[in-house]
Amino acid sequence: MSAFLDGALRPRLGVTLGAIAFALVEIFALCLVVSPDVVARLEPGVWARNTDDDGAALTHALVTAQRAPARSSHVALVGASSMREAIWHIDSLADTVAQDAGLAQGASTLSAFDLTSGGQALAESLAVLRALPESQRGVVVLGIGPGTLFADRDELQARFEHPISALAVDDMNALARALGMPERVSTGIYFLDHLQFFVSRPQVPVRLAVGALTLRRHRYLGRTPWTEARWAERLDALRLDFARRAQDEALVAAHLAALEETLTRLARDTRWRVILIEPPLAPRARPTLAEARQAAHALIAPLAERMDVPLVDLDAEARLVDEDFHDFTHLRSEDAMRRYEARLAALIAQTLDAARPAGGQP
Amino acid sequence: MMSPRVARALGIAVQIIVLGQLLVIALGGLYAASAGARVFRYAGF
Repeated sequence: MSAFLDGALRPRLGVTLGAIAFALVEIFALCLVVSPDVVARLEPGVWARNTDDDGAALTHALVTAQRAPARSSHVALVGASSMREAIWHIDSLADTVAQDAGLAQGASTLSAFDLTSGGQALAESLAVLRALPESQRGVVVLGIGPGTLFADRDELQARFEHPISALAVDDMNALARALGMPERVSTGIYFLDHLQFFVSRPQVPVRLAVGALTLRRHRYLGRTPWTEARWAERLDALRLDFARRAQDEALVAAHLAALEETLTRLARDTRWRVILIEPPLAPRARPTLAEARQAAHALIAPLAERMDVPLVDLDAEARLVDEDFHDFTHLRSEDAMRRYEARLAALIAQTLDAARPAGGQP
Repeated sequence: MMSPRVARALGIAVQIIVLGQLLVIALGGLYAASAGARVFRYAGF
């Protein structure tokens, strides 16, 4: 015992060098082992820092989507939390789409992926769109409105410098160049390229040992609507914030150019059809935010028309009323989410149907 | 009964692994702090 303790406790130069070598070997092993395949194979909750970790959820969903078999059709939902909260569940959306499109239900014919994340910047959405595999066929729904088209330059820069999701560095760098944002070093080694993502999740070994977290999908479900005081406090602040961000015309133009380039690439190189959705907006917020909403619409609509991509607002069809909202954009009731989901599913099914080769499966 | 030599070697191995692991954690922590790596928490509205 005393010999063991002597070995374990007495400082030695050899031990120090051995520890450095051990650390280097471990880092090298992590570079070899950690890959998109490994991320996809483990549950998303393994990578999550907490139950609301959208960065982990998006990263996992994207690498899983990239590995989905090309033989089935795919549905992908991309955007910020307003889109995540607009539907009940990505699986129920898929089932309804399959039903509406006359497909057998189940993953063999249609798989759906929730690629939303809280506060997702338009640049991140575009990086997700660019990462969709060329071999797959499907419909991708992108939530886009004044909240994402009009970005705060400093906030956007922080998203490039400190990415919350492990999106492809090359795609992010291409977008960074287009938007005048800082680029990151690309090594081609997944672990190093996403070092911030992984080092900010030191709990992964613990999760592997004790079990993955269950990620929470809805954050606003059942919450009480904003009080009158909250509306009074927040609504005008939102209007002013949107107006301020819209004044950065260079950034808005760069976003539109990046959006157009992404849509062009998808149309040219892939079999993905795109639907642009203006996220839910509470009726009582519409008058105050009308200017921002219309300004964004006026910029996106001509581009959508040019690209032959639908730009839709489903709020009226889904019969959304103020009581359905927690705040100006997040739905709070299952009933409202299911109504919205049904309308979205019908639209996706219609788009899948239009993309169906004559006599073939969609 | 394990010989003192083997026991000492085991002790050294344990020390190497523990120190090496601490070094990896420290390097990761230093990188995270210097890069400002963080998980964006959407504040909501």
